[in-house]
Amino acid sequence: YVYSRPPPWSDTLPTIFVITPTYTRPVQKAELTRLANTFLHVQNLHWVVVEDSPRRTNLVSNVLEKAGLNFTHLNVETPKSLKLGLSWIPSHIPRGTLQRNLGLHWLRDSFSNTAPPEGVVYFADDDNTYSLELFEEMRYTRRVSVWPVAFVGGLRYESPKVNPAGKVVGWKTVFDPNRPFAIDMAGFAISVKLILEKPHASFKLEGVKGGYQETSLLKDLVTMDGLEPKAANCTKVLVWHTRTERPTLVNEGKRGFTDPRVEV
Amino acid sequence: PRRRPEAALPTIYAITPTYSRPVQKAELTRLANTFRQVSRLHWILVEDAAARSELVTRFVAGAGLPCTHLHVPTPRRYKRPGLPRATEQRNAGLAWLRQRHQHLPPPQPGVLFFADDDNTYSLELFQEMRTTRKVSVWPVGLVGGRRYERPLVENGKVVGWYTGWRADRPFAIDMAGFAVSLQVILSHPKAVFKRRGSQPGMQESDFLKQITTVEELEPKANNCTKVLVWHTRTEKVNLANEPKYHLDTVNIEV
Repeated sequence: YVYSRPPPWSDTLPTIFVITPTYTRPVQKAELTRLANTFLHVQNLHWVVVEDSPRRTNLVSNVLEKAGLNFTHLNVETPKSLKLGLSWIPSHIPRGTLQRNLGLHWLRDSFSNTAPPEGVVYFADDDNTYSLELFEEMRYTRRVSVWPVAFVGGLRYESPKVNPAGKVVGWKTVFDPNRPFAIDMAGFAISVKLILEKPHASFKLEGVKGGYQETSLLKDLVTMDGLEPKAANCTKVLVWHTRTERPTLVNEGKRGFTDPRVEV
Repeated sequence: PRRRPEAALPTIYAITPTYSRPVQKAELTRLANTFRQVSRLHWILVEDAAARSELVTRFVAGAGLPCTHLHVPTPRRYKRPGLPRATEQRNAGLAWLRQRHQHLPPPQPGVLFFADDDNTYSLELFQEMRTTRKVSVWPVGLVGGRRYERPLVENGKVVGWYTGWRADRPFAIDMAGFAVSLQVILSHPKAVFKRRGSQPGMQESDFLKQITTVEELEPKANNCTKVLVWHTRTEKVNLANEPKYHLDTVNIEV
C-alpha cells in the first residue's frame, strides 16, 4: 500500500522536528497511525519517534516505514529502578523524559552548532490532537514560542498571559501559575539554533515536582520576556491534550484469546 | 485491442454522528486530518442537536474536504444508558444520500461507511473499502473486550465471527467493521437502523440483515486478518478547575 506522500520537501522552509516518545500498549499503533495521518499534511516535518523500549519494535518500524514521512527511529528504556551502589532504588523518572532527551541528543549529534539548520523542535505526545495550523504557527520560531493548550490543568485550556504589547507576562492557569513556565509540553516549540547553542539544556530526570518538567528544560533556554506568543497572541486553541481510554480487554483472559500474530 | 476507459473512482461517503462535548472539536479535527488524505471522500457530519451548532458550522467551513452538515436531535426517551446511540443521526445520513440520488440517472459509484468520531482509521482501510460491490467487512481493533474482532473467512467467504460478545448474532460485527455500496442502500430504501424491537448490541446485525446475507459479504483486509481500524475512545476531560461562571476576558473556542 502506498500512503499519500507528504508535500515535497522544500529547501527554503524551516524544518519542524517533532519528538514523540512512545511506549507499547494496545492503543499504540492506533495513536501513531492517526498522528502520521496528521503529519503527512505538514511540509518539511521530520518525525523523531523514541520508543520506551530496550529495542526498536517491529510494530513501530513498520508504521514509520509505511507512512512515508521523514523520520528517525530511536529507543531508550526508562529503568524501573536505579542502581545506587549495591542497592536498587525505585526510579521516579517521569514517563517520556529519557526519550525526549534522547531526541535532543540526536539533534545535537546530527547537526553542528556552527551551521544550524533553520528549524524548530516540538515535543508531541502520541495521544494529543494537533491542528495543521499549529505547525505553521511554530515554524518561524526565533527562540521559544508559546500558545494555549486545551484540557490541561483541569481547565478547558491553559494559556500564556500576553500583554497588549505582545509580551508574555504570566500564565493563565489555576494549577501553580507561579511556576517559571506554567505551560504544558504541547504548548511550546524551541528553535533548533537555540537547542544547539545550549547543549546542556535538557529535561531534568529526577526530583522534578509535578508540573515542573517543562520548566526544568526551558529555564536553561529562555526567560519569560523572551517568549514569542503565537496563535493570535495566545487567543486560539490549536492543540488539545486528549487522552485515550485504556481499552477493556476483559475477554482476552489470562492467557490471551486472540491470535498474537495479528497486530493491533 | 481497444483500451477500456478508466472507471470513475467510487466516492467514499463517511457518515459521522457527532455530539457536543469538550473533546468534540479535537475529535473532528483529527478525523478531518485523516479524511483529507483520502481522495474522493465525502463527509456527512450529523449533529445530535436541534439546530446546527456554531462550532460545527465553523469547523465545516474550514474542514478542507467536501462535507455535508446535517442535524437531528435524539428524542429524550432514547437517551438512556444501554440504549443504542446515534441511530437517528446515522439514519439522517442515509436519508440524505437517498434523497440526493433519487432523481439522478445511474448513480455515481459510491461506498458508505459509518465513521464514529472517536475511532481511528488507517489510510489503507479506505483503499480496501473502495472496491466494495455490495457489503464488505473487515476486522476491528480494540472492541468487544478483545484486541480485535473479525469475520472468519474460508475460501474467500465469511463463515462465522470471531468476537468476544454474542457470536450468535446473524452479523456479529461492529459499526466500524463494514461498508455498503451506495447501490445497495438505494435499492433497499427501507433499510434503516431500528429503534423499535431492537435489542442492545444488535444495531449492526439488525441493519445488515435488511440488506445482505452472510454469504454475500466481501471480506477485505487480507481475508480479514489485518486490523486497519481501531475502536479507540477518548477519556473524559478533567475540568475540575473551571470556574462556575465565565471569568476570562475573551471567549475562546476549544
